[in-house]
Amino acid sequence: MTWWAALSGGVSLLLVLLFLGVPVFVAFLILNVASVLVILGPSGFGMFANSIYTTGTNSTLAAVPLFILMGEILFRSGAMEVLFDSMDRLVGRIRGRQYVLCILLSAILGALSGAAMAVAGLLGRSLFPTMRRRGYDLHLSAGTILAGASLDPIIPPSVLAIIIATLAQISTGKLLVAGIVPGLLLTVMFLVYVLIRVRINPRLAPDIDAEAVDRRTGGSAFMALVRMLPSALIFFLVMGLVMLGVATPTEAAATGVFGALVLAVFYGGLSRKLIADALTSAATVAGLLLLVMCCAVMFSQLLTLTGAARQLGEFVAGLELPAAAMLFAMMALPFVLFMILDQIALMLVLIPIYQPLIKLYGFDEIWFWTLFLIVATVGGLSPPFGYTLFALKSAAPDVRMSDIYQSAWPFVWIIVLGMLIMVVFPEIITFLPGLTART
Amino acid sequence: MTRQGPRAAPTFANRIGAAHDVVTGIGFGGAALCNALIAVSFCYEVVSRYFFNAPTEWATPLVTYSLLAMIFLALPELTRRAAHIVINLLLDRATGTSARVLHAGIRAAAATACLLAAWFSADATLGQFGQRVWTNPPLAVPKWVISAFIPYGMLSAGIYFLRQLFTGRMPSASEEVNR
Repeated sequence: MTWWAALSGGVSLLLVLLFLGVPVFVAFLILNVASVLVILGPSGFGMFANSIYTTGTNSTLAAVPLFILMGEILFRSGAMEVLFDSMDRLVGRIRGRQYVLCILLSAILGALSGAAMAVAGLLGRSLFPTMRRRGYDLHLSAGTILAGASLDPIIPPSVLAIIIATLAQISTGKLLVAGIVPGLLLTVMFLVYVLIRVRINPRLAPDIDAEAVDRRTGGSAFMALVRMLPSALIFFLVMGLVMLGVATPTEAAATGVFGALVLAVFYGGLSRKLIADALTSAATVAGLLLLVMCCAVMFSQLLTLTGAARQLGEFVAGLELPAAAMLFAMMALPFVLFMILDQIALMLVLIPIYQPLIKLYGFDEIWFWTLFLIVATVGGLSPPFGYTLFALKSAAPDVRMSDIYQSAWPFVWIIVLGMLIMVVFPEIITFLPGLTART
Repeated sequence: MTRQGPRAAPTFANRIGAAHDVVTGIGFGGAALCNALIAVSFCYEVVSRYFFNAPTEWATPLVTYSLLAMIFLALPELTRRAAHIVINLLLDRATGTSARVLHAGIRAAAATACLLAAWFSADATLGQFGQRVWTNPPLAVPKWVISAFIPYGMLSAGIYFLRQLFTGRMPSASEEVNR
């Protein structure tokens, strides 16, 4: 079978199955089972079982359930309420403060968990009703929640970053650390955007005097900062230990779980129910993600086995495209596809295809895959089928989907602008990973 | 208040189904415990290595075994709940007969794929058992003990897809983790 037939046939069949509504892990399973039966025969049984075994026993991937577990414990521990109140105090009396609060809270939540959907749901239920009640603009309110939530997979810890690093066979620690500055840059860009919008059109936010001050958020700014310190401990236990070379990302994830439990004790939220709920919820979410990976890795191996990935690389090399054009094409393709396809499924298809091209063009791997991670994040935010959009819709069912779509687009383009800046100034991504002591 | 009539005696198939659900529930509890085991093992490893300068040899292999067990112990419960990642563009628009046909087709294809996957992986697991293959030191165990979770998960998931196909109980879109 020629390489292009194998590649186009495999990818086309996969896309058809996915669009028919076949569960993602089953779609990969069908492809792999069919390949074993048609191409490899009984000798492929071992390869099939081994690809699942090898993926399922990859110790780097153990960080996925641990980070999810850490987030589950934190969301149930009472720490989030303290963070909300403290940030509310710190933002102070500025016009459009709820927009600012929303974006800053999202960035902090991103440093404590890595799930955009969870944060969109959390802010959609807690902050969004307050913003609407106080007369904040619907579109800008929804947009800041969506944009803020999209920071979470970029700012470490990030489950998506672990999956990309595992598939692309690069340093997980460096890819996690690489997300810090881009996440902060995007946070600043979002803040600048909303403040300019409010400045130009003050009707987008109510008068400061009209905003009732919550009694819980009173007190000094210093005390608000002090109240946030325990949560900062979690970030140190995770990313601090990785950056200092004390722990691998997986070990750091485990210490993050321990820290989350300590925090739950500190806030008086620890109970058997909390632990049981967090463990079962983490097993569910991590099981879903890792199951797809286990079933899909053989598809990547088949692409390699048939020579499709290598020959596609040689074909593209023959086109002699300039590096900038190639980078644009390699980002534009997933930018469009992530709008309609599952993030993990698409990564599993694209990463093995992209690997030889990255080497061919000499792109810095950490830089490239961080850009790819941001594109994947945009996919969750961009209409019509971004995960995060639906998370907000489920948290605020009375808001029309068309309004949510409209809210998301300005922030999608801000992220694209941010990516352009990161392309022009790659040090934004590569500086911190260069400082990490160990991977 | 409604009066309930006498309950019909459970059929053999119902009893088997109930037993299947119980095993699945126990397995899912095991998956959650595996998650806890992963966290505890690595916390112990970090403390042991950096505070007592005594790195463990067992933590990493134990974590890898637990991870595989967690995934495939959770799979049957995820399938029972139809909690899979699905792109439901078409499913949401399909109604009436076309929706039923689509759901039935998906369940049939999924059951076939899972049962074949169970066969392939069971074959490999039995091969490991017959050839007495062990995992690598330092925490060497018979490899089939670990890899047996794969055929278990696939077989049970395949049976759930068949049960959904034959009982006609198709999950609604909202039950699925969809986009």
